[in-house]
Amino acid sequence: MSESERVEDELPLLMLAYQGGDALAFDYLYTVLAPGLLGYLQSLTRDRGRAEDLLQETFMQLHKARATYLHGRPVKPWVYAIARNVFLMQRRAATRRGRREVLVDEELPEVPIPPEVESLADREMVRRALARLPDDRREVLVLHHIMGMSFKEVGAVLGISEGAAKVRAHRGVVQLREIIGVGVEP
Amino acid sequence: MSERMRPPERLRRAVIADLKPVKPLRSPGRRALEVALWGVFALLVTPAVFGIRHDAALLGIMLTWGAAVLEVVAGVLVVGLALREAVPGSGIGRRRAVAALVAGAAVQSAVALLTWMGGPPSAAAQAMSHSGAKCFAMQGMLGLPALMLTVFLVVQALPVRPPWAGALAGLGAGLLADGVWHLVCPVCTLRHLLLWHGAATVAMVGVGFLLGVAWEHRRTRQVGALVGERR
Repeated sequence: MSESERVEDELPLLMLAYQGGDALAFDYLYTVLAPGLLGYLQSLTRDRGRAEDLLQETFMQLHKARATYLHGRPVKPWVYAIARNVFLMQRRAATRRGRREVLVDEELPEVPIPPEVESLADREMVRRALARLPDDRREVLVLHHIMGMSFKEVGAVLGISEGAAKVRAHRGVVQLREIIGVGVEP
Repeated sequence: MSERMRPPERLRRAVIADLKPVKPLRSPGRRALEVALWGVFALLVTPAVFGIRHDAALLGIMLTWGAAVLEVVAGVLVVGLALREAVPGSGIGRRRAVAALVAGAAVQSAVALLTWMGGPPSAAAQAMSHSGAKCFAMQGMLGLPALMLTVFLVVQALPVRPPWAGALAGLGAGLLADGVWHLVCPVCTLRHLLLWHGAATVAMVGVGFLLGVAWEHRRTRQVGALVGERR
């Protein structure tokens, strides 16, 4: 069993301990989940500083909602759905305050790159191409290829069906290839 | 554990200060049973208080109690979906939510259609002397407790799409109320059933949706303020 699989197996037990009031379980959950969540939030916000703020808020929300984790269910979709919701709420609040978020291509931070397309061009080109993808397609690629979630789990995070997640991922990869200019494999 | 991966001290302090054991939520199906209890109670008490519809003998057991129980069960199932939608990462998704809304409307319409077909021929005359607004109000009174209980259960679970969860909660409550009132309402014209009874259910869906929107606004303000504070 690989290290990541072992950690995946431990997550439900950690959640149980966390629900039981174990502070060490919270520390360990943070250690295990924070890097991936930060990457995910960064891919949504394209702003490292904002992603870090949202990461903290995500863990605060996760803490408040810890009772809602249902035993026996995978932890990651639950956590990522909360993180995504925090991002959406923050974005909505910013829009209401009239603060428009302008994304400048040159200022885009590191966006995780799916291994399927990494070999197609240099990292910088792929990063820029990925940044040009529509949010919904990029999000599926990040969750599936980088965070290692199954399409079923991706669907649970995004509130779409497993099939819809697969279609979005496929279209995302095709579009990435088109942007990079390597064509679509038959 | 590397320094970089540790929770920030401020976050850790806030969490530790509130780190009491919590009882995990029961599954959505089991929580829906709490709403089912209201349905059973209303199903037994309402006909006893208002009297069962006078054409019950003509309609037969299936089109009276059978149809009522069917709608109440459908309502409880939809409530279960609302509660499932409310749990982060377990949502049923928009497509299934829309399918549930359509299915709920289909169940209520089917009951209305069958009641109209099986009802007495003089139904139109009865309808003249019966106020549709009364049915609308009574269904509202029967559905509101179910809606409020469901919304309370939905909010406990931190829904990520509250308007959808609220709309489903409203549909569940609306179906339940229509099922109960079906045992009492003496009118079986299609127009009355679709217009007034249907409107009561639609209103319940609307109220649930608006409660979800209001809750989402509140949380958006809270989260926006907290993140804004940190920036």
